[in-house]
Amino acid sequence: MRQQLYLYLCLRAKTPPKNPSFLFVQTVQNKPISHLLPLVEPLAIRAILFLLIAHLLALALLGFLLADKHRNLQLELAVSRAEVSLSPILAAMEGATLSGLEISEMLTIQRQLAIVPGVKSGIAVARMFSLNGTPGASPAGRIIFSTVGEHQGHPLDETVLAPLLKAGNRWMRNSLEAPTLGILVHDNSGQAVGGLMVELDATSLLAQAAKLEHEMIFNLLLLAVPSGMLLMIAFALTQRHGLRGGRLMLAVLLPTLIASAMLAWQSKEELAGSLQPAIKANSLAVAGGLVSKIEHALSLGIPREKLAGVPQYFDDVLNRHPDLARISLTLGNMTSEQFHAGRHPALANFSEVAIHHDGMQIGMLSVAPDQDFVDRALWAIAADIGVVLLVVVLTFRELLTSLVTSPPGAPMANTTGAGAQSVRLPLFLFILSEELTRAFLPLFFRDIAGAGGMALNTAVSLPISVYMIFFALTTPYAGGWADRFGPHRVFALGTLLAGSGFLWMAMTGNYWAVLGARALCASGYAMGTMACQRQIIATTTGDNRARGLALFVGAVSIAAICGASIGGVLAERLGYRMVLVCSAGLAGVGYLAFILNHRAGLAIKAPAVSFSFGELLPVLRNRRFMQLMYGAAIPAKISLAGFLFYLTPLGLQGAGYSPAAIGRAVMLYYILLTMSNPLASCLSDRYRRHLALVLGGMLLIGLGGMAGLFASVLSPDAAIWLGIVALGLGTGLSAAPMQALAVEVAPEGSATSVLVALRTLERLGSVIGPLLAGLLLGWLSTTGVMAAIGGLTLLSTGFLLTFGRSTSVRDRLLRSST
Amino acid sequence: MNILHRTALLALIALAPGTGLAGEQHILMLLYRGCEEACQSFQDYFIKHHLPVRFTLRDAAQDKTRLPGFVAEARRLKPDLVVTWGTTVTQEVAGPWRAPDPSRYLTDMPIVFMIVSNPVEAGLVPSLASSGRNLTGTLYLLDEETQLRAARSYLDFKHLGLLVNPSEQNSLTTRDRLRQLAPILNFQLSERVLSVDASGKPHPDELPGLVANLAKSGVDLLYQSPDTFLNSQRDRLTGAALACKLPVFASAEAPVVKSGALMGVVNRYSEVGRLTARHAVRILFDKAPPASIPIELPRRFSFLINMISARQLELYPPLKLLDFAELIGDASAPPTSLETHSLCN
Repeated sequence: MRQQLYLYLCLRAKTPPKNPSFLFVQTVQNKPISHLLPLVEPLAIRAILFLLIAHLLALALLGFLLADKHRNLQLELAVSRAEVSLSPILAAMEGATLSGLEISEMLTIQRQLAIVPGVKSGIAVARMFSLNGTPGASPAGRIIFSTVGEHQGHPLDETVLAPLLKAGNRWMRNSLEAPTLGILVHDNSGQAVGGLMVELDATSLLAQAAKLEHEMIFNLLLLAVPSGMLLMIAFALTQRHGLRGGRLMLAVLLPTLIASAMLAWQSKEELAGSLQPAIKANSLAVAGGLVSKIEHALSLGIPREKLAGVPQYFDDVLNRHPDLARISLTLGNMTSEQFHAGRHPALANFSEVAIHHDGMQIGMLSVAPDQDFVDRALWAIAADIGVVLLVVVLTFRELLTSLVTSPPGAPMANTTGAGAQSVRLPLFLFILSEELTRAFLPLFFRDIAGAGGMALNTAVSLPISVYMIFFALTTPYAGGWADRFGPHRVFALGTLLAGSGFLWMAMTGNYWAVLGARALCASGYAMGTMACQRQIIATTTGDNRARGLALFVGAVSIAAICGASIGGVLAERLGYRMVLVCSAGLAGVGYLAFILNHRAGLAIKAPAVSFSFGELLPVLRNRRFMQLMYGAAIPAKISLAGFLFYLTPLGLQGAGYSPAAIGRAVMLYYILLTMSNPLASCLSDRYRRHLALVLGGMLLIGLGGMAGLFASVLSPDAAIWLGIVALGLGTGLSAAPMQALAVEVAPEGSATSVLVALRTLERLGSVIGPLLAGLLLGWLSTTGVMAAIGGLTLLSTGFLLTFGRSTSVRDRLLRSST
Repeated sequence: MNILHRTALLALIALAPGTGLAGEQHILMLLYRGCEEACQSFQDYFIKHHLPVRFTLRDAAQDKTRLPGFVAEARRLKPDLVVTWGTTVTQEVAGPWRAPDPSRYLTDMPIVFMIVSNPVEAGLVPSLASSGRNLTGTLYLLDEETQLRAARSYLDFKHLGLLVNPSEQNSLTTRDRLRQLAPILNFQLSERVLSVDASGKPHPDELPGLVANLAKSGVDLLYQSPDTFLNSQRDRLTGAALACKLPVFASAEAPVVKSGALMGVVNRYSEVGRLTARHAVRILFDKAPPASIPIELPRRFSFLINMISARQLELYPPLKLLDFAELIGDASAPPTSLETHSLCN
C-alpha cells in the first residue's frame, strides 16, 4: 500500500510523459490497429464526431475573431470621423470655459453643434451637457442643448455619464447597436464642467456588419463541408495505415489548418472592401477639417505663402489617424506633401477638398488613406489567431489520445488504463472551464467591488482566497465521497456546483454573491478533480496507475495552457460575463463527456485508502518537514496565488494590456512549468539532489519577484514578464523534488499522510498569497508588492539553507534500516 | 456678460454687511489696487455657482499704511474667510510663517491669497505643498522655462535680448534665471542694463536706443521681464522693437493685450481669480483646512498672440498654435500706431 502510494506520489511529481503520445503508443501496442477497423466501430465514429465538432468550433472561433475585428475597425473609423467633426466645437468650448463662460452661456457654440449631425460626420444625435454639483457631491449632468429637442436642464442618462466620468476625458460605448462617444471639457483647475455626448448613426454600421457576417457564415459553411470531409478521409487513412503520434496529429490537423488559412485570407479581402467607404468618409472628414483650419488662418490675415508649421501639423494629424498615409496641400505656388513612414497611400480613392479665400478657390488639399490599413489591423490579431491554433493543436491531441484508444467496456485485465483514459476528456474540459477565467478574474472582481463602492485591494484578493480555502477544505473529503458514492456521482455534483457557480457569477452584480459563487466553484473543482483521480486509481493497477496519474497531470497543464490564453481572447471579444457563461457550458459538456465515456458498470471501487487525520500529527511535529514547508512549499504558493493569479492581471492591465495579452502572459507560466517539470524529474532521479533543486527553484522564484524593483528601469510590464518566466521555471524545477524531499525527511508518516500534509500546508500559502498582496497594495505599487513577495521568498530560501545535509543522510540511513 | 449689472449687485451686497441669510458665508476681500480682473472673477465664481456668500471689499489704494486698519476691522467683522490681493497686503495681514505675532496679524481666521509672485521668498509659507497654518493661496507667475519653451513653439529663437532694470528685484531675479536657462535651452543671452538716476529711477528715454542696440547685435527675440517700470513703458518699448523688426515676448498680459508685444505666455488674472475662488469654496463649504490645500498655478496657461504685431513683423504663428492660442486683433485691425523711432536704420 505504502509502496503503491509512494509510486503514485513520485509519478505525480517526477515522471510526466516523456513522449507526449506515449499513452497512445502504449494502447496501440496492446490492441492491434486492425481491431479498430472497419470504421463502423462505435469508438471510431465517436472519435471522428468529436474531431469534427472541434474542427467546426475552431473555424467558427476564427470567423468570430475576424468578424469581431471588423466590427471594431468599423467603430474605430466611425468614432474617429465623429471626433474630427467635433474637434472645432470642443476647442471652442475649452476656450470659452477658460475665459470663464458657463456651458449654458455658449449659445454660438450650440448653433455650431446643431449642424454637426449628418451623413458627413456620421453623427445621429449630439448633446451638449453641463456638470454641476454642489461641492462635495458627485456631479450631475444636465442637458444644455440637444439636436433632438430634449428639454434644457433634463438630466443626462446616468448609464453614459458614469463611465465617461470614470474614464476622465473621453469614453466610447463599444457597441454597434448604440455607438456613443462622450468627451469632457475641463476648466483651469482641471475640473470637468461639461462636455459633448453624441450618438453615432448605427443603421449603416449595423447593415455593413450584418452583410459581412452573412458573407462570413457563407464562407464558413463553404469551407466547413469539404474540409470536414477531408478530415474524415484523413482520419480514415491514418487508421488504415496505422499512423500514430506526430504523424497522426499532422494528418488530422492539416485539414483544419488549411481551412483556417483560407478563411483568414478570404475575409481579409472582404474586410478591406467592406471598410472602404468608412475609410473614405474618414479621410474626407479629415480633409474638410484641415481646410477649414487653413481658411481660418488665411482669414486672420496670414498670407498663404507665409503659412507656417504646415508639415508639422500634417504629421500630427497622420499620427493620430492610423488609416491615413498622405496629406498634400497646394496653395498658390506653395505645395506641401507629408507622408507617414511605413504606410502606403492609396493610388485612387483619396479625398480632395478645395480651399477658398475671399470667395475664390485658391488651393486644394488632398488626403490619401493607407491602402494597407486593413492588412495591418488584421496583423494585430495574429497573436489571437495563433492562440486559437495552438489551442486547436492541443485540444486535438487531447481528443486523439483520449478517444482513439479508449474502447469502453473492454475487459479491465487487458486494457491498460482504459478507465483512466475515459476520464481524460471530461477532466480536460472540466479543468478548462476553470482556467478560462484565469486571465481576467481579478479584473472582474475589481469591477464588481468598485461598482459596489468597495475600492479596497483586499476586496479583489478576497474571492481568490475564498476559492483557495474552499478548495483546500473540500479536497480531503471529496476523495472519500468518490470511493463511497462512485466517481460518476461525485463528478456530476462537482460539475453541477462549478457550473452553477460560474452562472451565478455571470449574473450577479453583488460582491458577496461573487464570494459565494467562488466557494461553489472551488468545492465543485475539488470534487470534479478528486472524482477523476479516484476513477484513475480505481481503474488502474501497478505500472498503469503511474501512467494514469501522469495523465491527470498532463490534462491539468494542457487545460491550463489552453484556458488562460483562449479565455483572455474570449474575454476581450465577448466580455467577462459571457466567458463565465462559456465556463458553465464547458463544465456541462465535461459532464456529458464523462457519462458518454463512463458506463455505470465500469464504476469499480478504488482500493480503499486507509487514512486518518491522526496520521498527520507526527508529520506536522517533524521539524525538518515543517522547515521545508515554511522555506519552500508555502512561499512558492504565495508567489503563485499572490503574484500570478492576483497581481499579474492587475499589473498588466495597468500597463495597458488587453485581457487576451494577459491570458498569453499567464499561459507562458504554464508552458514553462510543463516544460521544466520533466527536466527537474530527470535531474532529481539521476543525481538525487532534491534539496539543491528545491533551493535553486526557490531562488529563481525569489529573484524573479525582485525584478519588481527594476520596474522603473525596465518598465512595469517587463518586470512582470520576468517574474512570470522565473516563477514558471522555478516552480517546474522545485515542485517534484520538493515532494520527494518531503517524503524523505518525514519517515514517521506514510507517504499519503506526508502528501496530505504537504498539500494542505501549501494551500495555506495559496490562501495567504492574494490576501497579503491585496494588503500590501495599499502601500506599494503592483511591482512593489511583487518585489516584496520576491523578498519574502528569498528570505524563506535563506531559512531553508540551514537545512543540513548530514541529518538528511541520517534520515535516509534510518529509513533503510527499518 | 453683464459686468455693470454684476458690479451693481456686488456693490449692494458689499454695502449691506450683517444682513446675511442663514448659512451665508462672509468673505472679506483686502485689495491693493481696487477690484481688478482677479478680484472680479473671484466674485463671479460664487455668483455663477449660486453659492450663498456676501463680500465686503476694502481697497488700500496702494497705500501700505491703511493695512493695519484693515486687520483691526477684520477682527471686528469676524468674516468666515479673508482674501488678500498681492504680496504686500498678504505680508501685512498674515505675517511671516515663522512665528507670526498674533496681536499684529490675523492668525485665527482662514486667509486665501492671490497675485503673490513668490510666497516662499516673501516668507508667507515654508513650502508650496502646505503653509502649515491657516493660510493658502494661488500662484500667478509662470516660470521662465515654461515661457521660453512655449515661445519656441512659435519662434525658434537663438539669441535672446534682455533689458535689466537694476532698481527692481523682479528684473534681477529674471536675469539670473535666464542666465541659468541659456545653456539648457541653448540660446545666447544679451543683456543691456538701464542706467539709474540719483533717485534710483531708470530713464525711459534711453529705451529705444537700448532696443536698437540689441537688435543690431543680432538678437532675434526681446524678453520683457515682469517689472513695473517696463510695464509702464510698454508702448515705448514694444514700439521701438517693432520699428527694429524685433519681436517681443512678454511675461505679463498687458504688453501683448494692450501694447505691441508679439506674444506672451501668461496666466490671465481672471483664471487666477477663479482658481482662488475654488480654494475658498473648499474652505468655506467643504470645510477643508487651508493647510491641506497646496498653493498652485492654474493648470493651463494662455498663449497670447498679438496678430497686429505679427502682421507688422511678418512673423505668423504656425498652424498648430492657432488651435489654442488667444489671438488679439483680427484681420481688419489697423497696424499699431506706437511710437516708432527709426533708430534701427
